[in-house]
Amino acid sequence: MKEVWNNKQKRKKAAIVLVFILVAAGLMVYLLNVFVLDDQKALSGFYHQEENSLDGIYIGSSAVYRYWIPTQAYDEYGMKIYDIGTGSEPVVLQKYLIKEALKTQPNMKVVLLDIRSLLKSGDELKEADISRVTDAMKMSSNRTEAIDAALDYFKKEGAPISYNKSYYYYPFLLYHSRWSDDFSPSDLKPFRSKSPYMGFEVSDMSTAVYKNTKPSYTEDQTKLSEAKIEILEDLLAYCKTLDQKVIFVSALYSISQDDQKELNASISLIRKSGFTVLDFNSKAMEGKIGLNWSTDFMDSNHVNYLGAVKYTSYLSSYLNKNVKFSSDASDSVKETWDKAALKLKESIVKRFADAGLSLKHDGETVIP
Amino acid sequence: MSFISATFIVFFMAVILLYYLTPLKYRWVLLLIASYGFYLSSGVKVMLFLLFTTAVVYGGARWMESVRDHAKSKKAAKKTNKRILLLEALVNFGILFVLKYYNFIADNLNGLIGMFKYDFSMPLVNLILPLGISFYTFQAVGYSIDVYRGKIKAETNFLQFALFLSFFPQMTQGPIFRYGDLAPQLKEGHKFSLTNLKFGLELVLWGYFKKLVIADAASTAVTNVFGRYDTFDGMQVLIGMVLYAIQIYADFSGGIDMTRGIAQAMGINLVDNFRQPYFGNSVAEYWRRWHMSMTNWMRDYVFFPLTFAHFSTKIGKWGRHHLKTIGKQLPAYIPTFVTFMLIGIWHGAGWGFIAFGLYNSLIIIFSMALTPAFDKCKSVLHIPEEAFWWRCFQIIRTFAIMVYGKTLTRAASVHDALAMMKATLHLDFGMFFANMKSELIAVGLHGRQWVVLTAAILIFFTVSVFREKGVHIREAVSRKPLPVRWVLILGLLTAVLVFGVYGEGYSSSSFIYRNY
Repeated sequence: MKEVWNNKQKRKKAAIVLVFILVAAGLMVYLLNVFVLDDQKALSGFYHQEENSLDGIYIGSSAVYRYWIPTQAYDEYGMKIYDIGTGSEPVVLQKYLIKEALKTQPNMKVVLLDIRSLLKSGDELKEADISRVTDAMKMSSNRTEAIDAALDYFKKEGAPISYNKSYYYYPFLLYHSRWSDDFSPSDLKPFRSKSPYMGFEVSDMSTAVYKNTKPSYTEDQTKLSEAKIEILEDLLAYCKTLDQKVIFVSALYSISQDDQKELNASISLIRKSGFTVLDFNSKAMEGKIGLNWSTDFMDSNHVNYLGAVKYTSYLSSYLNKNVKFSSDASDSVKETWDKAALKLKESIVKRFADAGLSLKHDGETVIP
Repeated sequence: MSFISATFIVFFMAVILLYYLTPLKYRWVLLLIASYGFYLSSGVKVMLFLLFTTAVVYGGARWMESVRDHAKSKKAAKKTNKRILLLEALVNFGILFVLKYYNFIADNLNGLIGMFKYDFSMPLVNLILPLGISFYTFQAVGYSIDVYRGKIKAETNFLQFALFLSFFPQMTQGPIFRYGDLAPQLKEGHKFSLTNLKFGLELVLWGYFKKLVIADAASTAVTNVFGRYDTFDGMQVLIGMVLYAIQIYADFSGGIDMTRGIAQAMGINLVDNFRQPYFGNSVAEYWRRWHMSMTNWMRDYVFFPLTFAHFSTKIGKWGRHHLKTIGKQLPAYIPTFVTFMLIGIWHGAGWGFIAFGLYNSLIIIFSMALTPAFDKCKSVLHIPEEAFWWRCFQIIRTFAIMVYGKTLTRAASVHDALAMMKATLHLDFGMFFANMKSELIAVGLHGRQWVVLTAAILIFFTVSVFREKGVHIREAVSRKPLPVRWVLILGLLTAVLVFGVYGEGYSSSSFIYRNY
């Protein structure tokens, strides 16, 4: 080293090598970003939240990002609860997502956990359910543990997926071949897109109207699988160690009787541990939100924007009554949330107009 | 531990780093530890075979040397040493033969016995095939022959000899080295050289490009066509056959480039195993350029000894007396036939490999026999030997011959290979070009994959043309301005990372839900 340092020519060579390594490393990072699927906007957006700026998080599957409108709850009550929802997000990952969130938001007051995806059977579980979450997580031991735990659960449930851990640890191994498939020039941008609406998802489906079937409710229960009990107990044990209030939620949809029985068994287990469960798929909660089964759904499993407004309105009111939020927030945080709220309103109005629908002030539409 | 694995990349980078951190004097020890560590990753049992061969060949060579030093006469020493060499070769080739060919022979003999309705069958056994056994056995026997001939002194240091037979970069697919070319370089500790490191890593990267971007991409279409050739038309079968010829070359030479690159990064220069074989203007020339370490081994230890053997001289005399022109060439026919049959069998146990050996030997023998007639034709037709178009014709003709020949080694059976060759006799160009897109996609690659594969093959071809003209590519690149060099290297790296076939195949269909 000393020899290199004292020789000008060698010093120059060493500098060139170093710069080359840095450029190559930069290229690698770029490629890793470019080829990873761009469908983890919620978590990418979460990472960009100012430290200690959130009052809570709402974790779960599409039953989160299609239902809870964070900016509406902020407008109405000032609470800042971010959606960390990804499609079919497995419940086994919730513990690790809470850990991830606490790294930057240790002063949150509430953690909301949707448990719908617990109802998925082994053959319905897909690789993407895991990778949609873990691809977006920052490299850390927490991410590794999340992958290990999820694969372990999927294996026990008999999910027909690849169990090669390296594909989950290093998703580029899996996604680099996208170039021959669904890769487009727009994917070449070096940074992942972030959710502009605090995790809430707005798409063409937001304005779709589906005439849904109201389920008939039951109090019966079926036995949960060993693996499901194991991950639920692990999650409950972890939640007991938290300073935050943890509320389990089951968002409303056209639930089948079989799913409801399994859901009832899960809820029973959670309640036994002393946690609150807001089960909107129960007789007791029927009609509380005021959802219209003919106009407020985009499909049998998800509410559209109109349904989300009603759902958020009810849940935010509940949280306002049951959780003590602090009202102080920095100007920059307020500005960020105000901007997101405004952007969502503009986007929604435009989407409704594009769909040939008019959005009334109270959130009701006129269906042509 | 496959070359195409993150574990191997980490392993060889660590070896290179440790190599330069180890004192010069002990660098060969590090290589020995790394080599046996690498070999051990393929199993303990297989390592015993390597150790056995090492011990037998080391002991045999020392024995021969001792006999030579203490014998009363040279003649007596030669006689004893011949016996030692034969014993050694018998043991080593015996192991190779049993492990690689026993089941094939037993299976065929059982079939033959069954035809005569005898109640006897040879048992088929589940034998392990140690990594690189064909390579290290030939390397070991070559060493013994060289010691026997007095070309080299027997190695006295057992561990250094063990390194010569186990040097990790060459264990997967050779090349087969001569002791004099490799061992001194392994023993010597090489000082760090940025140029060696740079050139070495560039060669490794080029090897990965050939393997992952060309060979493994072509493999999809090749597997598809060879697997169900009867569902494709003549043009598609021909495309599959041509792609296989390209695949096997890119695969093999890519692996050799990685081997040479890793060695060069540590200052060890290994000779190339290929010299643009598909630019050969005859089948004989092709074999002088393809897998040169193996063909040179066959030339020096099989072809020449057979050519100059007593019986060949006798046959030559007889031939000259009875058969005129052809008779003069007769002593070359038998060694050629034997050599190419051995080359075919060396490649694997199967009738396809035997047929491949036969195919090559007959083509070379016929071309030798017909050379006077060809020369006459060329003279009558005024074909200028050095004309560019004539050379192109020769190259294309040789390539076509090799495409058909290699089909014998890739098809499931000789029957299938012949059926594929027959299919290519019915080429409907009109139909193919009218429906080119769908015809190509049906072969097994999508539009973008064809574009990338074609571009990669063209890059490979262009580099080969430059090499054929005597251009040393890496040296030429190193003389370019820094930005050009970096763009080329980083471009190659990007191509390997993005277009390389590795990891689990991505399928957008498994991510439909993300669009929801």
